[in-house]
Amino acid sequence: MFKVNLRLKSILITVFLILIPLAFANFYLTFQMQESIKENTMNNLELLAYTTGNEIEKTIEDHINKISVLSNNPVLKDNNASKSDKLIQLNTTQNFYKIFDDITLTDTNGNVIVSTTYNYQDEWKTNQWFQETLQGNITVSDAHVLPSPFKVIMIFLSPVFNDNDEIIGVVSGQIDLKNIWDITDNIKIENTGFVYLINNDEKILAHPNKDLIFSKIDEDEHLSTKMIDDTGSFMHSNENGTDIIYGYSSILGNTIYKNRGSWKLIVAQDSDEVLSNVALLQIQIVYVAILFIIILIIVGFIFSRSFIKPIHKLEKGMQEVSKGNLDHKVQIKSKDELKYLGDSFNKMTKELKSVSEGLKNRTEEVEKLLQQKDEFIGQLGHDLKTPLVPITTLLPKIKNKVDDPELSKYVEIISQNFRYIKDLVINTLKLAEINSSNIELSLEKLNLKELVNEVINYNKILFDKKSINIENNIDYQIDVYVDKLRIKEVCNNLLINSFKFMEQGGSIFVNSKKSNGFVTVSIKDTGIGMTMEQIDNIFNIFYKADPSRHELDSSGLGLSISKRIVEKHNGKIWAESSGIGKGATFYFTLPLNLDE
Amino acid sequence: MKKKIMIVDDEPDIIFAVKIDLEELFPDFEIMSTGSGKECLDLLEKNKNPELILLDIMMPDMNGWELYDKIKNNSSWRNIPIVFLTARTDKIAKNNGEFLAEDFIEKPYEQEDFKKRLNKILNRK
Repeated sequence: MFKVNLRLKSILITVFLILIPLAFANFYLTFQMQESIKENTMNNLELLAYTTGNEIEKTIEDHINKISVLSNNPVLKDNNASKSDKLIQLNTTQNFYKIFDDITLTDTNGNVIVSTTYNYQDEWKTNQWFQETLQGNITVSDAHVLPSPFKVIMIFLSPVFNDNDEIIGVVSGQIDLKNIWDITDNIKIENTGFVYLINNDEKILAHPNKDLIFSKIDEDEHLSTKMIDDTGSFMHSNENGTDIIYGYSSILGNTIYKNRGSWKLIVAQDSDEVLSNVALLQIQIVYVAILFIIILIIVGFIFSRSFIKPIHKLEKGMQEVSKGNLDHKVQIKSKDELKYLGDSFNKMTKELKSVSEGLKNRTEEVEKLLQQKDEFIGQLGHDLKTPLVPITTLLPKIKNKVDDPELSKYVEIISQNFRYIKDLVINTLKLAEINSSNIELSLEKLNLKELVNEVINYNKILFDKKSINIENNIDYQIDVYVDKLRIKEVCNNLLINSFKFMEQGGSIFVNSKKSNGFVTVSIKDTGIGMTMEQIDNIFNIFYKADPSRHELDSSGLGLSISKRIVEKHNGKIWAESSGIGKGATFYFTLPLNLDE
Repeated sequence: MKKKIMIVDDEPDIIFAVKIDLEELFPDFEIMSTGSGKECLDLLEKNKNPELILLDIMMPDMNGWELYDKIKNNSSWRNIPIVFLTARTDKIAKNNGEFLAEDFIEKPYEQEDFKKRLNKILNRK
């Protein structure tokens, strides 16, 4: 499944490497855009507030002018003109302009001379604006409310001078602030943008929501603290957490408040709405990004195929080779390093194959040769051993029948030499047989003490000749798992060997010692002992411990054969001696029978 | 009628030597010798059933295994104990021989050993 991981990794890397910078860029850019738009909007709203405010101011100034002009009307200036004439002037103006609710002419005491609709009395004397006007100034009132019917109005007052420049009265015109609403209500900015007007006391004079007229704007919002310049813009979060962009313009500050205040024309819009385009853009970018990711994944898949597939082919190739199939070829067609890898791999397997075949051929040859050798030895063995039979039988017969001492001696020499050859032939063949790799042990469970006893009994007559005493002290409970004939041969070899190097009346002690899985057998004699050099070489082929001894007594193969047999049983064989004259001990280990 | 021991071997010198040994070891027995499987079967046909047959393995025409087969497949001869006497010591021969026959003696043999082994078989009867 590693190909999945590799593919996944490569796709993930591609996607992330491309997307992360994109995401960053996206966020950065949209942020910049938002800021830019906000600033733009603020500027725009400010401009709108300014122009709208200007328009309102112009309108108001227009209305002031009308009253001002009226106040210069000669009829009004004429003390002698009749009331009805003066009323006609007032009515004409009112009817002409159609914006004044009321036009009133009062004397300097505040008494109404004529009025198109009202008939106030006391109110005029204490009216601040009236007093102001009496100073000789055109005065504009702040917006104020009439209770019933509910109306928000403002009054424009202008002094009337006679020909001698003496104030003889005041003309005042009243307009309903509704007239301003026409200007403000028509301004719609998308869905959430609107315009409203407040006076210096923060009373709302114009607003799309007519219920709010002449209520105070929300004191908690502290908007006024932000509107300290003539014009400006700012952003503010309302109590719901909505961000609102404001543009404002101060109007009629001088006209109404002698610069100690002003009305504010305010334009407001939800910033969300303003930024809605950006939000839309962001959503579109997200869609594009998703599309992009899908494309990248597909591309990633396709792209990764170009190197996953070859890797997979290589892996398969290696699996095939480890299964032993050296004919498998890896076909990588891409035009890159992976192709070279594939070609190298194929070259390698080709080489492996030829080496392996070479080895196979060699092995077959060698096995054939070994087989031939075994057959040769088998045949040779047979041909060598067959003639030994009649000679073995007949020589003793001749010996018995020869009287002549000289002939007797000849026969004796022939017998000795014959014994030597026989021993050599048999042991050499045995050694060859043991060294052949085809040798197999036929293992069985045997009692060690009994096994050794058989060998001892077999050689009893021989040992009696030198009056040698043998003690078998092997633990009778020990069972071994060995090849019977061959281990008997080992025991035989060692006992005969000890016998050869002992004088009359010695002893041989056979002992056993168990350790994990094995038993160590020791054959200790009281013979002539061995030197260090002899101990080192005694198991070598053809080595004879005592060159001065009759060479015909031993072929020098017996101990080598014993060594081979013991080693085939996974055991060890070795000799120890304290020195010349101090006897020798031979040790060998055998596998225990493990059934218990 | 004297009891018989038969020996089968294609080498005349072997027959000569073994016959001498057998005559010395078992004076009460008559020793019959044949030089091939065919001769052996002929003798058996003539009802000369021995107490023991010593077989060589490596013989031309009919080898020891084949002869063994023929003897054992005949109901009259099946019970005659057979001992292989051979110079072949390879594993296969040994395993088969020990399995099939009463004994498997290698050439050249030691007199003592030879006597003991044959005694064991003859005395069993």
